[in-house]
Amino acid sequence: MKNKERDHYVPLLKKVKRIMKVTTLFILCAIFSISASTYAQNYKVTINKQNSTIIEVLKEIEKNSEFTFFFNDNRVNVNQHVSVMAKNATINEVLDKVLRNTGYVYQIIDRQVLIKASASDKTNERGAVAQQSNKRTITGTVKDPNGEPIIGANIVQKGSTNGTITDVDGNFTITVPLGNATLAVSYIGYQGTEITVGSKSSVAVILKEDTEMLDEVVVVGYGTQKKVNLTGSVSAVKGETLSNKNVMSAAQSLQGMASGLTITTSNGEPDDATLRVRGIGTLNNNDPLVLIDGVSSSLNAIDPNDIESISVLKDAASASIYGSRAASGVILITSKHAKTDKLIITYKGSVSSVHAMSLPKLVNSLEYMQMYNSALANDTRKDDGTLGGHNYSDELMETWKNSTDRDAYPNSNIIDEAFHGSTQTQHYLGIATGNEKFNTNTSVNYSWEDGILSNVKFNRYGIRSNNEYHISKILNLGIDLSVRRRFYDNPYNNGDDGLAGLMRQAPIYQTQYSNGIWGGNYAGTPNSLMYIENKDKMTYEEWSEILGRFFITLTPFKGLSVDFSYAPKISDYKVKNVTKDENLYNYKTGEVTYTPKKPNSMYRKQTQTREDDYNILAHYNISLGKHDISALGGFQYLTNHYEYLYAYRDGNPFPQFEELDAYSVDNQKNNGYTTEWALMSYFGRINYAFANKYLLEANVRYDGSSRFANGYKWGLFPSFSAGWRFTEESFMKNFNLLSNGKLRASWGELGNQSGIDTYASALNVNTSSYAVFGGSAAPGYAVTNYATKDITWETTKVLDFGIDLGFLNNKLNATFDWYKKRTSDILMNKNIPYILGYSNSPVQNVGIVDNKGWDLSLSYNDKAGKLNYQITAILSDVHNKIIDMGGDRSINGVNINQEGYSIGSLYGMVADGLFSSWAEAQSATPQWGKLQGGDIKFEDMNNDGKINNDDRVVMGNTIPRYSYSLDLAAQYKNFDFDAFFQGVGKRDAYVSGYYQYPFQNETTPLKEHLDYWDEVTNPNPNATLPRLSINQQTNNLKESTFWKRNGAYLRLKNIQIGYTLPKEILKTLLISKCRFFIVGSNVFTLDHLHLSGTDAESPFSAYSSYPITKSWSFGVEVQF
Amino acid sequence: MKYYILFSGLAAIMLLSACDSSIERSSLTSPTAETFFTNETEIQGGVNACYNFLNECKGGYFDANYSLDGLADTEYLRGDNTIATINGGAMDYTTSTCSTIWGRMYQGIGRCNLIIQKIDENQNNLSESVKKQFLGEVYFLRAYYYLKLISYFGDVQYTDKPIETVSEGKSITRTAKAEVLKHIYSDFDLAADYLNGSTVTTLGRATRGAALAFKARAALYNGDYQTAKTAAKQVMDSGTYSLYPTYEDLFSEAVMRSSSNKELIFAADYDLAAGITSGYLRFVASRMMGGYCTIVPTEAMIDSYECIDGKDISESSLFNKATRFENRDPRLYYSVVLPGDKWFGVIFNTHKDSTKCYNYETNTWVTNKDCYAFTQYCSFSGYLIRKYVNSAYLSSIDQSENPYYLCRYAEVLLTYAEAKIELNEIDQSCLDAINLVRCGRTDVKMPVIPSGLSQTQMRKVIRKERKVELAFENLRFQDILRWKSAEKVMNRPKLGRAFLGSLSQWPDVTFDENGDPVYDYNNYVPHPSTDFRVILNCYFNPDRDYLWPIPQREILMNPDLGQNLNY
Repeated sequence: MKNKERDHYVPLLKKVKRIMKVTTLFILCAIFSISASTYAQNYKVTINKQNSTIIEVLKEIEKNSEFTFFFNDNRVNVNQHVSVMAKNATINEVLDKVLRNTGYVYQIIDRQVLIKASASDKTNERGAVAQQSNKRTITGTVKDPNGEPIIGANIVQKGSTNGTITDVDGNFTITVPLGNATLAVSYIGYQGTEITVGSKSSVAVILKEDTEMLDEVVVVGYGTQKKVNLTGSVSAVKGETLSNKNVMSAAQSLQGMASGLTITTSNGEPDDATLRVRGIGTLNNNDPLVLIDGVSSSLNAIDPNDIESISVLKDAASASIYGSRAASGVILITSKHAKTDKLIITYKGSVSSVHAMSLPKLVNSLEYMQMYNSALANDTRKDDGTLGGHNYSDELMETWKNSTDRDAYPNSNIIDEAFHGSTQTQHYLGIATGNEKFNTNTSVNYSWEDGILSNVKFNRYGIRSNNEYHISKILNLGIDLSVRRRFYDNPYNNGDDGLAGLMRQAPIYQTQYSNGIWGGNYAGTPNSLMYIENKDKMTYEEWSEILGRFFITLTPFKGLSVDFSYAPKISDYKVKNVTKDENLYNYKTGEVTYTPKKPNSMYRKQTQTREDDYNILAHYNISLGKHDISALGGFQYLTNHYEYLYAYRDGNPFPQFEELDAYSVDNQKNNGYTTEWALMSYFGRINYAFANKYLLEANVRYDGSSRFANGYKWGLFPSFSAGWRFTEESFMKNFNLLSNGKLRASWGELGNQSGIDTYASALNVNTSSYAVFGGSAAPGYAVTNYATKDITWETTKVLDFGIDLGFLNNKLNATFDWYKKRTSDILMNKNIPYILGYSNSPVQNVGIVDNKGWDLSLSYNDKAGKLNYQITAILSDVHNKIIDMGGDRSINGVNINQEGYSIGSLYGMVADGLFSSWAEAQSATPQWGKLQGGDIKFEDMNNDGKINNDDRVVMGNTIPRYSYSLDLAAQYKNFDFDAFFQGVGKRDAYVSGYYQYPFQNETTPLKEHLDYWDEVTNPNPNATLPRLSINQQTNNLKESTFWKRNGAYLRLKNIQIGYTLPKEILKTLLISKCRFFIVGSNVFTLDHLHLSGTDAESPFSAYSSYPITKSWSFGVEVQF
Repeated sequence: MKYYILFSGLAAIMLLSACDSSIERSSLTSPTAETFFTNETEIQGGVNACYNFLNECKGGYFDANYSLDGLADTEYLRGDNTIATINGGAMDYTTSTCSTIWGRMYQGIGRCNLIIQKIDENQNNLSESVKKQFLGEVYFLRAYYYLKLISYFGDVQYTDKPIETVSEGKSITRTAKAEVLKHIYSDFDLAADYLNGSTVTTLGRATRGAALAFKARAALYNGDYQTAKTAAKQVMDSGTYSLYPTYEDLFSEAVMRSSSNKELIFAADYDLAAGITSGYLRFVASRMMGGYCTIVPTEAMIDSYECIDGKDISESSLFNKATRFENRDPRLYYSVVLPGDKWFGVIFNTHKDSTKCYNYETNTWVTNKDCYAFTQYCSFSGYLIRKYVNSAYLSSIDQSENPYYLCRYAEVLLTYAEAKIELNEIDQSCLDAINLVRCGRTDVKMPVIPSGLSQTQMRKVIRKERKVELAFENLRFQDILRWKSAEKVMNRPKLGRAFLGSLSQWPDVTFDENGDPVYDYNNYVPHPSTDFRVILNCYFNPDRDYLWPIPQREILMNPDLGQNLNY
């Protein structure tokens, strides 16, 4: 009979499941803000039961709350009669009354209430034991793999309703019949397990985390969704995976972590990153929309440690709720909000040693002179082909070689002198806490890096505070504030003065003489290193972003919530540039050999962006039996205001004061302007799920943009998706191998209007087209830019088919997506005939670009003994093709956009080695200029007997194919290890600029250039560099396959070893976690460029102002 | 519940206020074009803006106002890939300079066409004299731009009305050069007519004289000698112009801006306040001055100056290899900085032995930064250009404000003479015009050209005279094209002064039928370390290079344009 009674109470699995859902949703979805952990405190009971059984009372409470009652086996007599009367009482007050004098006590763990016999009531217990002597008591503990007790885990004797839950220490006691019994142990978020008790009287259970939790929730546009119920294509990354990488920026940490998202850096300056979601969809701006807690921002605006999760919305179904700005994908960042009533303090800090990953290797002075002579001899060849003269005689070179006086006969290497190792530190401090009325999460971060070049400094700090107020059951308020500042000092005015400037100091010129006097360059003027070391050309850059979000959430009744939010953002960018110049002196005599020709000068440049984002959102959820329906409706209004101001002065008698007012007014200059744009949107979404098996979703967004003329402003962007969790079907129940399986399909449209000018559709008069007459300026008015009024939204249609599979109880997970993305009416700056009289290439709706591709991600988690390991592999491919350009082609240097080929394809001549001799070159078909031996030989591709531009072919694809990454992680006892590889399988690179032409702009050749063709020393038709030239170019600079390279690479981006101190040691120190780690980033790269100073990630630019770096860090993470 | 009502109200207000006007934004900086150019102030600004493209390739090393002759044999320009490409005969329709020139000229033409239309539409808002002044300037400029276009490209697209749509722009094919020339004449005639009696003579503004002078130039360039002669004569007879007394001062800013300078016909002006400055000084100044010396005279230019007896250096008894810069046409000394010249405080020399140079202001020897021993990147030829160099701008060396002649009276005189020679009307007026240039100034007194020379002899005389008188004034390139001498001179290497050795070791020179030097450098035995210097091997394809290619950009949009021969 008792057992029958108990049917109502013991592990009501259905109800537990509901709680799990609600809990997770509440934790992760900041919009709903009743904290689950404070449920018991907040719950108010009104009850009046006289002389009822305990069970009736509890039934009543259970009916009106989310509480579930459990009984500590058979020791509780639930039919004992009690009386209770309470109004707006807490659960504790009520239970105190109910259980008073019954000899029972209770324990509340979240929404679960355990009723058990009081420890002092020995009689009862003994009596129970005595009565049921055919049973025995088993005690046990349930812990997680880290040894942490699991509180509230369910323990059920298999095949019965007999069960209990664990207490705060993870302990449980259960009475089972004599003989063999099996206990099933389960807890939310952990893989359930079964234990055969045998003759044991105590058991220790370790529950493994369920890595692919069926109830895992991911952030989607304007809300959250259970991962299993997703129908769109979303890559989700947990914040901790990013913060563990210990890199400077969120962009760097996200690299290779989300399938379909490609992040590349083009130089070593921190915060420099280009993001691409599923390749290049349009011919203009391809930057994805980055939202932090729903507010448009950038990856640089948040510290990796503050990130709760990142979702990359890849297909139209998931992104179209952001309509107009989503065509290049959406990256949703959720920042950490407090979710516990415990006070948690986290500190994380590290120190790194930073070095350049690859620097250009310059030739020495002897090699330089030989190369210069070779170039000069080529350039000054006589008509009969005999070599011309040279500049450096053999005697001089011999003297130079043997000299020990390097002041007189220098052999400098300015690159080696300029670059050095540097240090970087990062600190993060976070505090989170909360109670039933308020919770908060506040953090500060600071990082500081000394550049690998003198006087380069990179500083950054930020404060973020996320606060929520639970005013009443239906009203919640929140205020999030973030201030972020970045400072970048660099000792060059622009890229030309940085690495490029250094490259122009040939080894035959001394950079600094042995007595400390600075040397000059080829022109007798100061070399770049002096300017860098003496801070003569300093640029001080400063970014500030203040971002606030105020929101009100109303939950008038169950299922409905309405949000109002206002998010203002102010971004400032300031540049102060101070330029000075100095005398040079003869190192022996002290004679002044150079005096500055221009006065010292400075400019300030300031831009400010103000953005105001207003949102109204309404969510509604309803469950009717097996039907789950949720709906979302919203409105957004976004205004953007951008100001630019520039001021210049020169002539400062007191150069130590670096402010405008310290300079003369004589030559002052200034300019400035303001631009504005606005967006307005209405959007909605409906999700429907039947029995958690069949899933449907529909989105629509209606967007209006100020960038278009009246009549062209509005665009409608719908999307639909469906999912089928076929493993929920009964016919799949026997396939135990497959634990989770879902098929997805989606189709939708997205808009794009970014990357076009704010007033692209307006024809405006330029009022600063000055002309000069008689020495003074006369105002000039001209329509300089043509505008096409009828431009409107660029539309991207995406079709996506995906499958999610989980095998072996989700140890192995696979997600595969195939997609086809077609962007039409591409807004493109397209040339117009010059005869129209305008210099610009106005934006027009032209063309169609297709991206077909797939993303595959595989993860495997398992353990071998005490070793836990996880392998995550991501592979994606995209095939880009221009379908229609209105019959036009556009060629820009070596890049072509042409129908049938991918965007930015390489276009040029087909090279066939080098002419082996003067004679061979003379007999060749005329090509470009007067050919010589050692010039690149071209093929007549169209067989018309001529070699000219008509022989150009599309020779390569610059868009990465087969981007892949591999993450290997393992934990053994207290050690953890992680290695992260990233690479591109197929890509064409192109060597340009200086690498083609070693003496361009008086630059110094590289060691890699030493295999140059030379008539006397190296007449090899397969030499890596054609004949040298100072100033006479023929075929060699013409775009051709000669300069094409294989751009595939593999890079060990990140490697990490960590050690966590054992809990036992920490307990006494009040520290809950302490971990030490060593991280290496950009550790090594395998590529095919074989050129020093290049970066395989951006294989098109010869070099940038600042080289890419590698680092080794040591750090500690402490939690109190 | 009251919150609910409150916020529903808020939501309603936000949603209701949402309409198209909330997402309308327009430029905060400048007016829209639709309602502009209606009154005198606006149209005046529009006319001014038509002057923005006087030089077809602007800025950097290669600028039509100061280094166009780098394309010819008389000047060498280092550091610019485009010039190296063109000099080396490696230009094709992808070369950006082609589309730059094409684009700039059509922008100028487009502005002119629009303003002519606007003046017509709003003529009631303009007084008659203002309207005539505006139209005169704009017609002049339109012809000026078309003249540049046909000189480079031959047949070009022609329109005298604004083109409204892209498709219309794409449908316009090329008009024959001769046809365009007729329109150019007519525009210059209209300009001369409208500007007749105008009192606006501000430097940089078009005048009646300028219209006639450029008409003469247009005719001369196109072999229409009758028209050239007539137009030039009109300028000569106007009484407005005369030669400035000294050649030495002619290129100083003070003289250019002076009202006493009657030689100036048309000029390009600069002003820092307008943000319009020239980088010329930096490119021609020596390393000692803080310049780059990238635009320099070639040996062929130096050797083209006669000796003061009026004979070429190959013939004159006054010429001595060892003292080769002595006894020469004084214009050499006013146009070029020669080795050994005093130049901005020091003695200029690039020779490898000249590691020190004498500072005659402080009377000390200082390190010579123009010496080859220290840098390969001093003047490649060993010479510098002297014209227009203005010490006032040394402190802001890349921001000069001095004007440049686009046309001066001496050119008109030589145009008249050349037209007469080509018409075989070699009379006294023809000789007078040449001789005025040769000895009509106080500081240039070259022997007069005697009468009785044949047409062929006179042709050589006039071609030499133009080269010398107008050296580095950006007319040489078109001259060698129209004389068809480019295939000769541009297939000879550009030579410079030696690194080592002495002046007397230099190779012999002879002069061809155009008076251009020919060197026997293949038989010359060089010093162990090149002392006679080939700066650049040039290449000119006579079957192709007399016209430039139609830019790839335009052909891609309008294949019907067709391409010039052999590109």
